[in-house]
Amino acid sequence: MNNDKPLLELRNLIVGFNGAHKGKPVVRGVSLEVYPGEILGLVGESGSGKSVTCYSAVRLLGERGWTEGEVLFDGKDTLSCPEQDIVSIRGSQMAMIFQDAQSSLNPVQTIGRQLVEVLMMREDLRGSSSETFRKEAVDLLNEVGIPDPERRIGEFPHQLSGGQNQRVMIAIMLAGNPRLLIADEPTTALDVTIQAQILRLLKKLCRERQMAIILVTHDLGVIAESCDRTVVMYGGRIMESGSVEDILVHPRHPYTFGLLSSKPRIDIKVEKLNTIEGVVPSPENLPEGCPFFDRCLNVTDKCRDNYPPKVIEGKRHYFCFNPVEERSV
Amino acid sequence: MNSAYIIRKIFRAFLTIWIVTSFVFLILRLSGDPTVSVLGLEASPEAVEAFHAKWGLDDPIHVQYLRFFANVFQGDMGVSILEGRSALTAVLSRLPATVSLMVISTILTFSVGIFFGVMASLYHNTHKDQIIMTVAASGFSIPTFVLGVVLVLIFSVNLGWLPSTGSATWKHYIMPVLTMTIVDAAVFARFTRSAMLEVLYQPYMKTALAKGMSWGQAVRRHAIPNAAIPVVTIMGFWIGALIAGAVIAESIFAWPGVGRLLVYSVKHRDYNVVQVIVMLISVSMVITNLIIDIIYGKLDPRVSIDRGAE
Repeated sequence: MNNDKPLLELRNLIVGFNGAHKGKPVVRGVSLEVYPGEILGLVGESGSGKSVTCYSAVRLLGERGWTEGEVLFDGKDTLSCPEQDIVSIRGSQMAMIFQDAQSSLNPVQTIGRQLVEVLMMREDLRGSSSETFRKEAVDLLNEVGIPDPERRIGEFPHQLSGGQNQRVMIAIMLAGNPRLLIADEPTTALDVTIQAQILRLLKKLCRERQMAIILVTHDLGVIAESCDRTVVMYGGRIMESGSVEDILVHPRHPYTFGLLSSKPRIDIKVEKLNTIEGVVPSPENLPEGCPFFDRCLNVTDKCRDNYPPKVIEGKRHYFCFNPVEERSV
Repeated sequence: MNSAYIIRKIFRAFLTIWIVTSFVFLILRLSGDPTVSVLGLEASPEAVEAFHAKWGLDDPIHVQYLRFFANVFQGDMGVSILEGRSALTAVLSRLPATVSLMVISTILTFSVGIFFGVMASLYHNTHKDQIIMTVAASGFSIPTFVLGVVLVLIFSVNLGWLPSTGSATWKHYIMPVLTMTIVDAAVFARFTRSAMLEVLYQPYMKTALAKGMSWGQAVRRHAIPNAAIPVVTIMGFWIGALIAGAVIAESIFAWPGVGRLLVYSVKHRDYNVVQVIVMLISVSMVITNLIIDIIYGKLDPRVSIDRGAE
């Protein structure tokens, strides 16, 4: 975080899908920055637009997706550049891992083959012997903590556990030496213990490789455990953004506050867990103003029709007319 | 692949061949005999009796049945009643004509069907897709025998471009091959398209792109090999259709092959020839399906053949 030039910068990103949600966008003006060597947590409920934001950064929305605004990777706009430019950025500059590692790996190819495939695209390894590729692949599997990589390299995804598949997936995405790794709910499908191992691995890789990571999750625990900074999203918009401590200990946005108060605690006995009343609005029903207005405890008349301006407080910012008073949750 | 699996497979192959042959043996004998075909309607009762005695047609059917299998196990497939020579020789002499027809049709069916199926899937929901699928739908809506006759009508009768019977030159091949190909290629195009569409939206295709592959590379390395698995599976079933197609095409175009011989032999109750052909068909089906099983196991490691046999 000693670098002040962002590696990835989203400027007023708007994303929608043709033929869905009555033409209304799913992501509605998201701006954020990711700096080299940091882990940025992107947290929000299902349907908040966090995954879609990430897919549009690597331009993997599919043929129905459309975007407005800018995504600058190292100063280059990845939304408007020619297709072959984004292809050359993917894998070697920006890589992405997904929630369900098992189905994200080709079931009928060995993990070695799927790994070497990426190595073969690397400039510095061009023309290397198959021995070199094999050794590189084994090294990568070692790096992500796959035991007995020499043997595992010839195995298929169905022979590995979910956690190991996610490790393999990470190895595959590391193979191109990317500077940014986008991890879309990488631990959601895993057991809690495995989840912690994968998060530790991501932290280690971030530190050792000086690689930036965007960690998408709906789990505040994951954020607390692994991230440097976090961005809270709701209804396709950013609610609040700042350091993990600021957000998790002193939230200013009522939504973040609600999320935190609904987390179960082991130190206090409660009869009933707190919940945020209501449901996440679907994209076609989002209001002009704050998307959280109908579930918010601090709501006032102007919230519905006016989107709150950005309020900057030191290194954090939020979008709210009536923020929560500064106090710990 | 262990030996128990192979033994089980071979045993099952023999069982299949035995059931098919027995069925044909009974049906043929229950539905008439060759006496009239060979001797004519005016034959004297003495001649008929002598004919029956010569070919063993007087014996009870179970005696004929046991004699037939006893002979088969000694490698004697019997004599063609119509041709007077070994039934096996009669069939084998016509085999090259049929095999050449089948090989050409197979290559054409696979390449055309799979190519257009892949194209349609890559241009899913565009005009190209719709055109290919419309043509394919009309292709497999036409019964093979109608298609053959229509081709003769257009290219032989009206235009006079192509010969309608025989197998002497390459021109003779065109219409029989088209008759055998068009319907099946259309079926394969449709099937390949749906297999591809299934695969193209799998998460690992997204992974391939995230790795830095272009769409074309991802399709070649991850979509097509995976879509091949279900396509290979139906190739096994399709062999039966290929043989049926050969019988029809050979009959329409008077092609001097096994298919036409089969129709002729059934009509005249040339028992031994029919039995040889039926055995040949079942053996080739069994072998093809065994090969398909092995290819399938290679394509899809999740289905090991050892386990697949359980």
